[in-house]
Amino acid sequence: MEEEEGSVIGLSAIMKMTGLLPLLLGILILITPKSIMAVGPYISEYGIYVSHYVAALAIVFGLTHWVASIYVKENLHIFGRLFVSGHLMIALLDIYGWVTGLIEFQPRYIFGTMFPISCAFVLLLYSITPEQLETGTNSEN
Amino acid sequence: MEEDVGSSIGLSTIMKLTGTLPILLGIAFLLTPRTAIAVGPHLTEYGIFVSMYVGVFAIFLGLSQWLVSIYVKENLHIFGRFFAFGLGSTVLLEIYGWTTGLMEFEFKFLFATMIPVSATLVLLLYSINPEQPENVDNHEN
Repeated sequence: MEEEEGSVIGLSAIMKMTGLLPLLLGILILITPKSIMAVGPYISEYGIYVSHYVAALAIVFGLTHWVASIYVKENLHIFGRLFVSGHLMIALLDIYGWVTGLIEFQPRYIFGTMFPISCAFVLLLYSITPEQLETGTNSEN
Repeated sequence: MEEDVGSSIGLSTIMKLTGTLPILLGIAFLLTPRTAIAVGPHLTEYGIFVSMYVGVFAIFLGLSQWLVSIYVKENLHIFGRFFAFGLGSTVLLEIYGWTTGLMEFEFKFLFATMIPVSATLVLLLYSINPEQPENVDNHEN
């Protein structure tokens, strides 16, 4: 009984929340690429064009979180793990930008990188073990 | 019986095939961005850095398609439509590149655009109607 009370927020809800990050980022990159990206002020019109692809694919990545959380019941944890690696790859690319000197090492960018890292961490926590289906629990009840 | 023979390739297989496209494109973007992207030769180092995000997101779009085709049985057509939208958005961006004059109107680029266009169309064709799960047929048999 105590365990059921503890798991108020499931992987499905976490996936929706973490999916909002790339979704919002994608929309912002589409609207204001120069100000939202760390390298935005330095990119040319061709770079802006490439950033549109980043935005479109980030939106699709975020929407995949939502569609998976709504329509996948079994194996949701596997999708959770895939999204963990996706968020981590974004964080790694940010770190790559710092290491190569493309991005200036500023606190606000560290703060920005914390978002995908925390998303990956929370998603990983919730997707380590497979979630029991509600219908299965209901049938048992 | 004739219907069974006709539907030898299902949405799941189509999803795997169309998922291979963004995976390969993403890898090509990461390895040789200047030659794999139409505007590659015009990109600065910052633009190349942005294109790495495109590569990563594209790889994850493809991997999502593979995971969905493997682990999702019900509602697969919804994912099919969703991925068709994702691939379609990249086609729209390419058309945008031509209309704005950022991309030169060359035959090879037109040919390259046909690949995501055909992937989108095939995905849409196969995901118009919900597919019956295989195990249902087995039970009926």
